[in-house]
Amino acid sequence: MAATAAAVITRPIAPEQASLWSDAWRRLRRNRLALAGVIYLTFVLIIALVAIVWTPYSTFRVGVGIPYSGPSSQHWFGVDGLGRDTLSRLMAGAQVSLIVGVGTQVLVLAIGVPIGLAAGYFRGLFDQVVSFLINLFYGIPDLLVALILVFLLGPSLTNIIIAIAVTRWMDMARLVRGQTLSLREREFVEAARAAGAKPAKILVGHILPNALGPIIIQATFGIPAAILFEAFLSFLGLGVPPPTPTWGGMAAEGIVTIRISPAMVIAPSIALSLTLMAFNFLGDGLRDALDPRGRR
Amino acid sequence: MPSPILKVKDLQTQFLTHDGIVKAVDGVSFDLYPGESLGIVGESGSGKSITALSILRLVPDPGRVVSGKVLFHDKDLLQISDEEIREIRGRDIAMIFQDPQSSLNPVLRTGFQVDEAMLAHGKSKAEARSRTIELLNKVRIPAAASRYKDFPHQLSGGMRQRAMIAMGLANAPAILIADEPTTALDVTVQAQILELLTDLNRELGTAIVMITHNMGVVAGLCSRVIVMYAGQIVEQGPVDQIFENPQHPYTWSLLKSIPRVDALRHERLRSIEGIAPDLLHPPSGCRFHPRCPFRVEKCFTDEPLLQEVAPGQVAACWVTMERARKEMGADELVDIRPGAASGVHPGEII
Amino acid sequence: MAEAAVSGLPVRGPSSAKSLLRAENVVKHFPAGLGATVHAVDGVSFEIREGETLGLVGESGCGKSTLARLVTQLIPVTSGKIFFGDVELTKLRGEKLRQHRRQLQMIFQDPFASLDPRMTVGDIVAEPLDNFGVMRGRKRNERVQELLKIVGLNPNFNNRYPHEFSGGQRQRIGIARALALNPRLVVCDEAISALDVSIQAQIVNLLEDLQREFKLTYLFIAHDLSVVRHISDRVMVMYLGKIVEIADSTATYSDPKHPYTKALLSAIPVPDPKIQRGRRLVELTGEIPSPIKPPTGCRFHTRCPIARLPTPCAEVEPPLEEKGRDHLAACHFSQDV
Repeated sequence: MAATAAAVITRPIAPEQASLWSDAWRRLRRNRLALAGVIYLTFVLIIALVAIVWTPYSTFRVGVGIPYSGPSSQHWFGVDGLGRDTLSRLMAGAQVSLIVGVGTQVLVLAIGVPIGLAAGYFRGLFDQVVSFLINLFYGIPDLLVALILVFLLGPSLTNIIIAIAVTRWMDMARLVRGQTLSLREREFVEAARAAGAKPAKILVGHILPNALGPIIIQATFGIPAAILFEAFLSFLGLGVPPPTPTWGGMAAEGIVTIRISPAMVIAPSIALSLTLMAFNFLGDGLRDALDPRGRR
Repeated sequence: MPSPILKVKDLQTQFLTHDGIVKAVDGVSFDLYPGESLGIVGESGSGKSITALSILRLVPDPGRVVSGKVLFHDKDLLQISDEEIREIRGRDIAMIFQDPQSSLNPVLRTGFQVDEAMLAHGKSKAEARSRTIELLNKVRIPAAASRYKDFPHQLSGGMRQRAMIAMGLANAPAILIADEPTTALDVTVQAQILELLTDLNRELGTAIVMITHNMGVVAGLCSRVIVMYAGQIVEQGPVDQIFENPQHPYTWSLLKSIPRVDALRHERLRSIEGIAPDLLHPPSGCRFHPRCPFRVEKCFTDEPLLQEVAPGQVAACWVTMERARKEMGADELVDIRPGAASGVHPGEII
Repeated sequence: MAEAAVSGLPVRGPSSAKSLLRAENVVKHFPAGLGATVHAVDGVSFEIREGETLGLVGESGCGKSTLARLVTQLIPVTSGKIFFGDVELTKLRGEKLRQHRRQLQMIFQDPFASLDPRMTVGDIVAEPLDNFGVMRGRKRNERVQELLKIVGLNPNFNNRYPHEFSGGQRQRIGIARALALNPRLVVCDEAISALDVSIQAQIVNLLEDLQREFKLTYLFIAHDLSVVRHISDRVMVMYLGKIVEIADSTATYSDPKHPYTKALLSAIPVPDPKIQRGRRLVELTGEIPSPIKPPTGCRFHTRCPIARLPTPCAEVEPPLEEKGRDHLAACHFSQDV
């Protein structure tokens, strides 16, 4: 033990703030819109989970109600052209939307994050190739890529997820690359190098944790974009094949008969809009909460 | 003895944060006499910068001046209208800041920015321009006429600060407040700027309020000094007296903790133990007591007021260095704080 | 060295101590776009002796920060050699270089930026240990607590985060981290510049105590010459990428042999009004030239009060040579200083 122990400092100056995450959580909680978004999304999640085991009526059996009938006490959102209960299909449709939304982002993270980290940290030839690829992919219209992939791989939920992820990985890669470029200049990264840390350790132990904020925000905004893209594909008839209900598909089916049975279009459209809004509010809330320089 | 041009009385400035109220300036009073150079010295959290900003009502959100008076020629600056204070800023009382890089607009020519200081107070463009060149010469910027057209990034740090000083002096103010104007500059440049300020103070008779944490700067430039700690004035007086015979233990400790370039031998620095005070929950009694080597029981409970300890010198301390020397042998430094290993810190005896 | 004996410090003779680090003609150029290069460090040779504190001072553009990173090999040299002990550091790459980092540590300037905000204090201090797999489990935790105590912090702080601490406390954490592997050389890159004056004294005292206790060697880089004078045994002055003077700290201040050193000394304000008012500032003409186009001959000639122009000062670069006992300076006219 050193004889040098001068006044042993026993008290940090801010014992209340346990960590940066709990601080962010506190800020997020105070954002009413974000909170509303979270509540709504939880609600959708519950509905989607419930729909796995139970829906008021079967989601695919035809003829359980009078086709094209509007909302009634037995069918809260009416019945579609084939006599299927809209509410039940809406509930099941939530599953597709959530799976597509989250699934694409998982894939986007899996592709974009490592590529972005490596390109931003090591620079050089690899970075040049990656930047070229990113710009290349940005140059090709999303819809074209998605169409081609769905055509080649065949329409299925998995393939749709892959197709959408292929059109969106560049956003994440570019973000992560930018974060890495700026973080690698920070003094604590230099300190880690000076202390003998290997590049992998620096990337995973220092840069990634500090880039998590923007990454999470980006992913949160990416979910509604993916859901919308899927709805759009479904609307074009290129989405998940029937009879699986998807919100976009339901709207597509109902659009021709919109005058007779507006509920067929309105119900899934509203569901879609609310879900997209909720994710966007959440994303905004996260961005404000995670900004370390946020005003109190 | 001329009467003061600025009288600050019991100034209180607070910041409303969601963790609580921070009393950044807590009852500060002082006078400024025409043409004098007054130093306000303190470390971070002392309140020195906020005091200056409060005088000109420039305290940023969420800060508020909650009480007190700032009398300039018998007008209370805290009470006059927004229009009136804007007139006074830049014309009667000017302020220059630490980082000339961020105080100057990078997309406007330097000369024009100095012009602006005058255009805002009624001069014509032609008048402003010729005065600007005159000022740039006065602050010793070489080739002033051509520098007029330069953008800030084309000037070095030292020259930018000179341009700031020119801006400050443009309307021949009675008072120039300088908030750490040389902290971001190299040592040789700092010395030149300080010399410039000394000369300007003498030639133009502009009173200078020099806010700094550097005791050497105060020693060279100022005739009187105010020492601040945790939002309060702990000692005040003529510079010669304060440096030779500081009466407040903080002032004394601060002077002892500074290494001197002209020291003859290596003496261990006498550091002030502990950390800067928490302005959200300031210590009870005397705010310096947790770090003070000479505290007595009273210091824990009663807040000391400024009292005269020598002609023209006041200090807020129950003990004062005079007593500390006589009764506690302050000059043979022994750490008497309870909790220190054995009452004596190894290596701390000078 | 009579002064050293009086102050109670061990007497260190000029060349009796072993050389721990030696730099030979180290050059570092950075590309500055459009074909220009920044001559950050331009042919620098010096040695750091075992157990000493070598101070390094200079103003902006002198290259001291770059030199700090060259010494620790955080950036590679453009040319020149650096020896650590008998090992040629500049020849090492990859893993071999990384292994040497155990002996060569660094303390950084900004206590708010040099600690990863997402890591606990314990993990930060233990990171060097983790990087080399030196200790695990209980031994690792014990070592962390020991290090925290050594630097004067409560060992129970290991689960807290950097933002809960003041600047001075964070700097102590940085010091604990630097000591984790028992290095031989510690580079202090402006380690106290960002701290309050009263806290600076705490950290300076801590560094001195640690040096005595753990037999450390310091390269102490700062722009505050008063502090450098206080803590260093020898002082190196840099100007525009070159060393202009190296001498023991007393001689540097009482008998400078380079006009830049003298000007620098005259510029430091002394906290004593009577003395300060009586001092005369050595005025330097002009500004610090750009390191992209350094002046010919002696780089200081454009501002030097005693320069003889054009010959030799604007044409011939003065070598860094001995002007007194263990006192080197790069000036044609040291005798006039």
